[in-house]
Amino acid sequence: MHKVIPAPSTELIKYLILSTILFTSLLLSSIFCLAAAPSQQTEEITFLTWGDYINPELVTQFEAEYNAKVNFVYFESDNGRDEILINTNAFGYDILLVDSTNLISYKKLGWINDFDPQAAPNINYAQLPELSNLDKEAQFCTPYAWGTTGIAYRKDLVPEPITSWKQVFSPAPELQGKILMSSMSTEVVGMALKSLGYSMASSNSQELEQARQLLLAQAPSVAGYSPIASDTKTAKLVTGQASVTLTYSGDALMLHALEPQVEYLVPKEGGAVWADFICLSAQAGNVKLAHHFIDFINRPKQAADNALYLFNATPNSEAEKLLPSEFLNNSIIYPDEALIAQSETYQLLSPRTIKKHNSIMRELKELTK
Amino acid sequence: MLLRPKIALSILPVILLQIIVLVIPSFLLYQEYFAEQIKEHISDSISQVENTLQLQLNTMQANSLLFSQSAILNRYLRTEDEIIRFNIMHKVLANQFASFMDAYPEYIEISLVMLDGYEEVSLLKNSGSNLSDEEQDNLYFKNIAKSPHNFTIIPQINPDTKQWVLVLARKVFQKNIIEQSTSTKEELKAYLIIKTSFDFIDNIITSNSLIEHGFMVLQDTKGRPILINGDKKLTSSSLSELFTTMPRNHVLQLTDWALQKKNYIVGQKELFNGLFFSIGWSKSELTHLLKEMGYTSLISSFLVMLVSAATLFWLLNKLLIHPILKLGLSAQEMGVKGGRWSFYSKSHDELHDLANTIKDMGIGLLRQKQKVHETAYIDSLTKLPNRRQFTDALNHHYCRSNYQIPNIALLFIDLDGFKEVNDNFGHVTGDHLLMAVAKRLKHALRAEDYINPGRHKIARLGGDEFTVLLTGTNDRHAAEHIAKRILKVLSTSFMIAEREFLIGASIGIAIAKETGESAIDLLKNADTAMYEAKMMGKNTYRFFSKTAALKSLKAMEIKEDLRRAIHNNELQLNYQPQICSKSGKMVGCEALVRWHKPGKGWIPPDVFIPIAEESGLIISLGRWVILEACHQVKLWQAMGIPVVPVWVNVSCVQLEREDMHSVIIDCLMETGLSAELLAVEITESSIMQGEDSILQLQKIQSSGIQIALDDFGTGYSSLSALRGLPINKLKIDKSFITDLNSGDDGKAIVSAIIAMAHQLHLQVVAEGVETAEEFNFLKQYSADIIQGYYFSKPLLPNEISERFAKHIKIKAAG
Repeated sequence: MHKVIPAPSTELIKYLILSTILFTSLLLSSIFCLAAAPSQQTEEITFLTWGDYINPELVTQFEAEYNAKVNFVYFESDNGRDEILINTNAFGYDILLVDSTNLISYKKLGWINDFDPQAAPNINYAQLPELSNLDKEAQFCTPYAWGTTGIAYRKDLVPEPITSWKQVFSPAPELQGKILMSSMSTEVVGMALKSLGYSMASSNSQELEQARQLLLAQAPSVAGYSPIASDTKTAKLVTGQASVTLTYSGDALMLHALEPQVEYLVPKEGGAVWADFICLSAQAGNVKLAHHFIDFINRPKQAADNALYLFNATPNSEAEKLLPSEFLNNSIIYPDEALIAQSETYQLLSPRTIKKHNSIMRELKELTK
Repeated sequence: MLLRPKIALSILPVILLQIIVLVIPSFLLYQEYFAEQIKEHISDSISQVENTLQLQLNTMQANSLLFSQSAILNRYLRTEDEIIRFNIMHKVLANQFASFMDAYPEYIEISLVMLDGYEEVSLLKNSGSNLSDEEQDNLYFKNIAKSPHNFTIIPQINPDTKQWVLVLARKVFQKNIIEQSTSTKEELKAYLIIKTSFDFIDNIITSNSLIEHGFMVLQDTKGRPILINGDKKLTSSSLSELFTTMPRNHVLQLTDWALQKKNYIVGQKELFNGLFFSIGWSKSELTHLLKEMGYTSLISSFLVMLVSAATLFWLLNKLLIHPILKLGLSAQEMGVKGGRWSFYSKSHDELHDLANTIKDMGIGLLRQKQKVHETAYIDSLTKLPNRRQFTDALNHHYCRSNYQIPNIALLFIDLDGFKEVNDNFGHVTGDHLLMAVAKRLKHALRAEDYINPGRHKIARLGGDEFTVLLTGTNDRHAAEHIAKRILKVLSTSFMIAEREFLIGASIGIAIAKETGESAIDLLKNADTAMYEAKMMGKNTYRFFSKTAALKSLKAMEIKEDLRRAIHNNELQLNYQPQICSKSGKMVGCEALVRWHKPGKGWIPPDVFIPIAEESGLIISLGRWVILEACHQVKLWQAMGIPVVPVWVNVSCVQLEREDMHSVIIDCLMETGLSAELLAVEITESSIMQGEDSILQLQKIQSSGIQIALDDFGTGYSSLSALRGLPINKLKIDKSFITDLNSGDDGKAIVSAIIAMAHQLHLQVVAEGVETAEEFNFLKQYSADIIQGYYFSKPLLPNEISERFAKHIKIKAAG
């Protein structure tokens, strides 16, 4: 149990002594374990991340190089990750993939620690560019990738090319039951607000109510409010069961690779710009290997390969130099600055706004049950 | 009145009475029972609601405790940074609440309210809208905020939905980590709120179908109805009024209460603090129920009554009346018609016993009847139909033929020589002979019956008289054939007691169409024809003829006349003197009856005596003779005439039929004559009759009356047989005396009889002596007394007295 902000008292000293004793004994026992284990003992780290969000070759190379094993635990949405961490307090995880919005909260909750740049010098290459209103000060972890949230659609299955959120929230009759939305309230409510011309972080109850009405009107046309990164969603757009989906730029490009009819765009009202970070778990069991891992994937070559695999822009400046020009010139991966300016990054919301978001989501889910 | 309507009329009132006795108390009992039931029902319903509510409260309490200890909730509350709480944890906690609500669908809301009354997390069932986040003015919040307890439960109207809900508010405590090591004091962090609707009670209340005319109401402390079921006309204001005006009870009490002009039995109870439950039973429903019950029980009782009455009646009919009727019919069949017993019962009940008794009685009566019939209609000796049956049968033929003369013929059979057998060998032998004759007749006619079945009927009229009735024929040849056959079977000898008897029969035949105007005529004519046959030399048959009839009519007339003669004193006694052969003096006289019939003259005794014997007139005739003789002697004595004993003849019929000794003694007593002046003459047949007759004779002799054996030599008795018999004198039959003139043989027999008699110390009387030669011979051979025309013919009484007076000297022969 770690208290983020300890109250200054004698209790603290006692607590510290206790935790030191605990830590030392843990350390001793691990040393003992290490000593007792054979020298070729495979070390392991556990990575809590999105599914299919790293080039598997990279993992294989790392495992080979370090005689290690990387275990993956996948979450399907930010909430899913939150729930895992609330329940485990980050115990059992060495590295975590965290979005920009929650970084500071996680830090405050004591779930993440900073990487030691000495132990992983390559992380110095990872620097995010200016992205909308992304707070660069609150970055404790190593940026991994960034992209946008927009619309992916089958151009062969829509009556006319989609350019606006309005085409999604007030859909044409042909799109009845063919629209897939997200399970995240920030995305669903946020994009609805965007389509109305408001900020997606709006706490204005009137604006929120308008967004609610818009969503309730759209709900009958929606096939489901499920996590964006799910395989079924991918499959549905590829098979044509769904025509339009709210998704991320990288995911959309992966779908395009599978089905060329899939188009992605950030609508003219703008979308969301996001960045993902890799953090060291505060409860990491193998801090050293975690550092090796973050250092490894930030090697320019590896980072470039990974960006090519993910179809996401890489924050690694050295890697960028290794990327082909068509990748760098892909407007989906590197949208023009005006569109980025038009878009927003996710922000922490006020309790009442979140309550509103949550109640809107529950209402929508009830409607499509 | 017959048994059947009697039973029917008595069953109905009994059952009616039963109904009255059963239905009225049961109605009253039911009334009480219903009231009790209603009370029980009310208390049951209330306790059911109470229990359900309590269960729900317990569940809510337990669940709230469980929820309050959720790790996520703890983490949530421990996170003091509101932004983090909301951004990171809010949704996770909401998800957890959602999973609680999935698990407990009865909860309509789970929420977390902070100490300042701000509702941070709220999960509503079906995503109901939450109107307000600020709960500090809410009733439950005020309640829990000031409550010393860890949780409160109150009913209240949900401001969000305006529906009644049950709100549980639980304080959520958290141990302060810093203070944990020194004290266990927990810090109040928030309130966990669980709301549930009243659906769980609603189900019970609305499913209670009995409350159709009554009501059930759940109210809060202010009397506001939470749940109402029952009479829709009841307004909530009147129910509130009920609540406010009725005395409060923590214990269930039933009160009669009028509500909107209707009467109810109301039970009310406070279920828990602030929640009251009332049940009202419409009194009219109770009355309705009672009425319905009353009608139903009346109808069913009536049906039961009908069925049981019918069953009872049927049973009585089957078990009692029907068998009694059958028994009656059977008894009638048996008793009146003499038929077979037709009542059979499988059951062994009293009726069966009664039937058996009646049957036995009937059989007994039938047997007796048969016996009586036999005695009346059957001849005891031969077992043939007797005269009576014969007469009835004959009359029946005449009656049946509708007063026309029937087609019948009658054979009248009389045995020849039977009287002799009877006289000489006694009645026992005679009876055996009759039985044998009857047997042969039956046998003979049975053979005839093969040809004409049932057309020959034999009967014994009495004595040696038999009849055979031939029916369905007028034919002389047929009758003649039967007669010949009878004669033939009777002509062979009979073996009786190792002795051979030869008899015959005389048969008279009368054909109804020829000579039988009536049954009496037919019988009389057959009888007459039989006489005719007898006259024709016996052992033959004769058809009735008018001339023959006239002849026999004489005998009939004599019988009738003799009867009259005895009555009219037409008879008189003559006395024939008996003379001592030695002294020549009169030593006695034999009384001989004489009948002088007016207009006809003297009728000889050998004509009327056999008729008298045959007809039984001999009894009265005999009495008359003895009495008359006694009177005469007494008269002579009174005249001063020296008297001699008078001998009277006593027939064997008399000895057989009556107590002769008493008769004689009676006559002596009546006349005052001394016994030595009366003497009795009997025939050989009297001695042959058997012990009874001999005993009678001995009694007579011992009374001092002398007895002479008359007509000795004509019968079968030998002298040696006379030894020891009560006889004083022996009278030799006059035929022997007559034979004295015909040769030496006659003389030898008479002298031998005299000698032998003397040897037996018997005096010998010779009668029928008519000549001097005869007298001399008898005197020579010492015959003691002589009677006959040689000395005197029978004389009238006055002639005797003259003879006594003249002192007639006997013609003494040298």
